[in-house]
Amino acid sequence: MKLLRLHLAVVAVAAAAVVPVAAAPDAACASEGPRAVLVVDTGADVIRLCVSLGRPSVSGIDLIKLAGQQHGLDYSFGYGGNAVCRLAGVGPDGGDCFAEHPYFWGYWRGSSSGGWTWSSVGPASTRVTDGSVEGWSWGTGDDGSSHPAPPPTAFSDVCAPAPEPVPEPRPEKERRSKAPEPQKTTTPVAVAEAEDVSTGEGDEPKKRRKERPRRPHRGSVEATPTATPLPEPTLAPAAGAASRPGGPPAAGLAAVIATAALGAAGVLLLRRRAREGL
Amino acid sequence: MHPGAWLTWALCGGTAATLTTNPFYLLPLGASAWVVYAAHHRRDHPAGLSFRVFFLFALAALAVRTLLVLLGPVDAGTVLNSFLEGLRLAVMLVIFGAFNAVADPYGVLRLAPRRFYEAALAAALALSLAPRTIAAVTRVRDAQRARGIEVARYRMLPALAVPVLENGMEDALTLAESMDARGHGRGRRSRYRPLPWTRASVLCAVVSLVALTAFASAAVAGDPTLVPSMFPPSWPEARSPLLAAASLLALPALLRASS
Repeated sequence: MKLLRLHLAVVAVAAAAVVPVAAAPDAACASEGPRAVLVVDTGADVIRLCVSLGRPSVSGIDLIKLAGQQHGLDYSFGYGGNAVCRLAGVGPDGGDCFAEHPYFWGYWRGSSSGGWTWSSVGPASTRVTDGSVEGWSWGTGDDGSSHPAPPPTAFSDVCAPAPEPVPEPRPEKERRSKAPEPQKTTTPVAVAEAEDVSTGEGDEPKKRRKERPRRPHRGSVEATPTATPLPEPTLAPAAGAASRPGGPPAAGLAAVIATAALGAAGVLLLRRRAREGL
Repeated sequence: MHPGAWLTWALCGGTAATLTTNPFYLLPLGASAWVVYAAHHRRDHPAGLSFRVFFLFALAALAVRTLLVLLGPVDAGTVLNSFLEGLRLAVMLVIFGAFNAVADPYGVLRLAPRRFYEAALAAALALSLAPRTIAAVTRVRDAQRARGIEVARYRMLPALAVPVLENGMEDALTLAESMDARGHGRGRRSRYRPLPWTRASVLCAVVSLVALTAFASAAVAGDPTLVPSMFPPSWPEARSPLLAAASLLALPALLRASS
């Protein structure tokens, strides 16, 4: 019995490991230039998009528009185009973004380690630059402590590593391979949306369920911000990510040791000066 | 040590602390300030003891900043976040306390160009307010004790406040007179005891600037380890160059303060 459980666990881990890797090719959408990650968490499922910015920096609103152009993300804005009403088919359509209050789209800003911080300003006044991670989650709660955060997502989970600077012939190839991509990339979004619309629990393929066993369904109020495990250990190149979940990182230990050493040195100095009466 | 060197040290350390909420950078910064205080604080002067008061202030700031968040909706992330912000404030206070204990505020004042003498006077008074008040309190209590005056705890404040404020006024007048006597605001200035930039002073200033440069360039480059996200709570990562920079601020403790 135990053995079976172990096997199941291994399979689950393997499945989790495979999914993002399989998703990686479509994420490699934007080959060059600044890119940012847009995570849309409808509560029922999570859409992760790698968006090419085209400029060094854009606003949070612009990022959604770009995701619409590049990946066919469905969206609508309200309040003069400064607030987000609807994403991926979830949320009110029309000018009043709080029509379905207490449910609304919460705006989160990602850190490079995969964590999320509740944005204190609206998406029209934020700056999205190369490597940024932006998150939108559908749920209740008026601030970062009560609104459910999207699942932890690091930039490298979604956007494939930038191509290394290579000799001349390469860029030409890439440009050629870039052409068919828009069609490729629209599919996952379409699938995600279709899923979302159907909402039927029974007809969801088993495999997909396995991929996301942890997200509560849209409408479940007890969605907590943090509980979800990290999907990221799958991408090996994410440096230092492996050491994080356990204890403090090695550099942190070094910091504690340095602090202790300095503190002890201070005590010794004080004692010596007191003895010598300096 | 040249007072300018200490001023540079304090400004660089304080600025570096404002740039980060990562405890793995803040703790070495605070420890560096502690070592510098231990090595260089003026034992002959009551102001040298002001570090202890600043340290208590720092602990209070940390506690208040952390406890205030409990008034709102709480989860581990928000508590940790405000704790780290409190820690940043505490480390800044510790650095400032160390500066007060090691440097002579009047010496710092002498650095100011004569044209800015009013501003410099105000700054010197502000800078030396805490150490001078602490020194005055110590003096007054010593005097009271010497005369056998035992003041009950709850009546200590008024019994202390009057002589301390009087002391403060006198100090300010003395300072103003001494500045006048040294030719501040008159276009000429005597330098009867010039402050030399010794090699130790230069080294202290350079090391501080290097440490600040490391933190400032990391901040400009958008280093995510400077302000780690606590949503969800996790161990923050730290980068060794910044750790080294924070510990570098302890180096002046090794220098000989030959003045």
